[in-house]
Amino acid sequence: MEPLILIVDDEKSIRSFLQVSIETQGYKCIDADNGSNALMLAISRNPDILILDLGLPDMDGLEVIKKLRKLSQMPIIIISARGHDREKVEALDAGADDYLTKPFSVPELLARIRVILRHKSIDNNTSETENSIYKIKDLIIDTNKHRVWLNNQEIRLTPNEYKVLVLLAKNHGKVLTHRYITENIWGGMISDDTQSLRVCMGNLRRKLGEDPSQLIYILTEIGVGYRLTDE
Amino acid sequence: MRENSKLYTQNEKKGYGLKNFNNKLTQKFFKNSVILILIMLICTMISMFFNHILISESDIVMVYLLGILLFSFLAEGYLYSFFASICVVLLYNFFFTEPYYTLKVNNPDYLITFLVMFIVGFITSMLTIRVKMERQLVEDKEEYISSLYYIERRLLNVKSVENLAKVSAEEISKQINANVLVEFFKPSGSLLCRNIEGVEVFSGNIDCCACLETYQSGSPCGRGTTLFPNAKAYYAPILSQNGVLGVIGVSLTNDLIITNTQRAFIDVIAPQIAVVLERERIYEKQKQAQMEIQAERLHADMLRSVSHDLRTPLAGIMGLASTALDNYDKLKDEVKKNFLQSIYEDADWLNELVENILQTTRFEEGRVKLNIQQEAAEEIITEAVTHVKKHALCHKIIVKIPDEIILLRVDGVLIRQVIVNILNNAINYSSEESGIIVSLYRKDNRVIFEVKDSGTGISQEDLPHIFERYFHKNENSIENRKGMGLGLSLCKSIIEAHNGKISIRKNEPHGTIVSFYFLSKKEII
Repeated sequence: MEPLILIVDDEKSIRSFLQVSIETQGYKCIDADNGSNALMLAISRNPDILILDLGLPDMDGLEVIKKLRKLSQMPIIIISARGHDREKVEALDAGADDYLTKPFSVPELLARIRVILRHKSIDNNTSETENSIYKIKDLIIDTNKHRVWLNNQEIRLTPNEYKVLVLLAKNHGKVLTHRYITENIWGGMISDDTQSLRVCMGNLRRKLGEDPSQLIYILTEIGVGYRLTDE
Repeated sequence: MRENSKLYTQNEKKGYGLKNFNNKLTQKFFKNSVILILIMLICTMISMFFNHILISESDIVMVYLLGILLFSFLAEGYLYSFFASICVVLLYNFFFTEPYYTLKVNNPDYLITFLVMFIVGFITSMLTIRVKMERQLVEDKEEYISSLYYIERRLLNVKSVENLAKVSAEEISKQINANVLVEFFKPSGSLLCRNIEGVEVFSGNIDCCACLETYQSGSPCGRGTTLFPNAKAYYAPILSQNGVLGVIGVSLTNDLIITNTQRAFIDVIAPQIAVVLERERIYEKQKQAQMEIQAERLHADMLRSVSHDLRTPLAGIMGLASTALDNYDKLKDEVKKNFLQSIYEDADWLNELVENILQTTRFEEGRVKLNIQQEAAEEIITEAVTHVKKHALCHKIIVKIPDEIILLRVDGVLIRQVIVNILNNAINYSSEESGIIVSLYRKDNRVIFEVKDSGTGISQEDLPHIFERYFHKNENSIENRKGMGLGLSLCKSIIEAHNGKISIRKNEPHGTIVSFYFLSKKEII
């Protein structure tokens, strides 16, 4: 059965072009133009993915996320206007899975949808142990042996660098906020201080031999967080 | 009045306080007694001498009258001259009327002489005193007027409201020797400025209430009045025809209640302060109006520049779309695809432009709140480069970053936009195969970002104006399709908001280098 996607945006033209591009990929599509309709549809039709614009006429998009998260774990991709970074981070920390900034390109949105659907099927079909090796481009991470190879050459990482890399790999293609990563690696104590994280990322990139003009593995989302590339 | 204040100063210095006032009276009494005895002694001796050489008695009376006159001039007091007149009569009686050296009188004619002598002595001395007092009064008034004139002149020379408060507090304090508070209020009722000369005794609860009451009612309150008599200071309003502008609080250093003359002084000086304050207000208003006019003009400039920038891509989009619509069946698919691609590119450019306009207006209105966070400088650069590369596929952008991971406390999104703007300019003004170098390095405590291109460069005369708002390079050239009016001035605003600096110079042999830096100490990690 093809996946069902719920689009929530108060702008009719955006809804229509999203619907067209999503349906050409063979997904099914429903839409809503305000928060309360969105919540109703989300509960009654239980879509596979919710695409949510943060600026809605009747309620704050953040509120929709919080209400929905009490009832369901359905993946949410948020769409926000540029310049609302704080809102974006808040939404991600409140439980949204990914975000896009208006205006965004359709291929990008489709890529995000694919990532989420893939994560969903992996979660459903396989157990933890089976998925202990991650292969992203020329990078191989073996979580059983705690080893990392790049171009068939092993690279040495510090425990924290390794932990960050594995965390990103587990969620590859998804953006992880600074807070999320710091809390998972260093614990909640220093979640407001991102210095250790920045330094760790800088070192990790140097070890992965990233070209600063063309990042391949770890992508930066300024003011939000990091994402390990997917394709 | 000067006299008074000087008197208080002496008291203050010696630290006697209230008791001292009585001491002063007794002191004066002793002084005058000594003078009286001395003068009488001299008069008696001269009279004796006259008597000896047989000069007539009437001259002796004259000598004594002269003595009274002299004494009353020195002693200043009707009671004293009264006493001196009696004294003289007695002395004359004692020494120069028969029988000598007694107070008895043989000839009853002398009684008339005594009476006349007493009356003449008393009246002349009274007149002397009055003349002296009047002269003193005139002098005081003159001094008062000249000091008022001096204060007025000082007040008129004041340049700002804060300074006005300071000067008026200073002058009032100097004149009446008190701790003085001067408060001005805005028309909205909130405090405009506050100045205290001397000791802060005005912050008590009652004093605050009294001060507020004075402001609201426009009549004096506090110590020495019926309202809030427990307050430490006397509060007088500063009135103008537009209502209460402020409050003057006066607390005498010797703890006395303010006198009527001092009150009168404040009543005279307050309107002067009000006049100057009004003048300052009008001046401020005028300045604001001028600034508004200027802002308006800038706004008009911006609208013109923006509409110019918007029109070019819009014309492209409209032209392409209408051509495609009108000739839909005739056009080949490939051409249509090309059209759509161009439309997308123009829209993308529009989007970038609108983003710059939004940021610029936010900066102009002072609404930008920097979202300062710790950021890795290299991450900002790579993000910017990745963003630009999406639509500049043919240009080669090289990024050079140091081994050290440089952390900065900046608003990452804004700095990224600065680099994007600079890179877009570099791309627009250089040929496709030429390289653009973005580098990051540390020099002492400066973290420097640099974008180097080898394009056409900017002419020497344009260089100094390049950061000016709405500046357009080569107004008429075709290259100007993508104007940079807003971009670089926005960059400047952003960098300066971070206490950084941006500069532009020529690249050798041709091209441009734009660089900016922030101050950041090297952190040991």
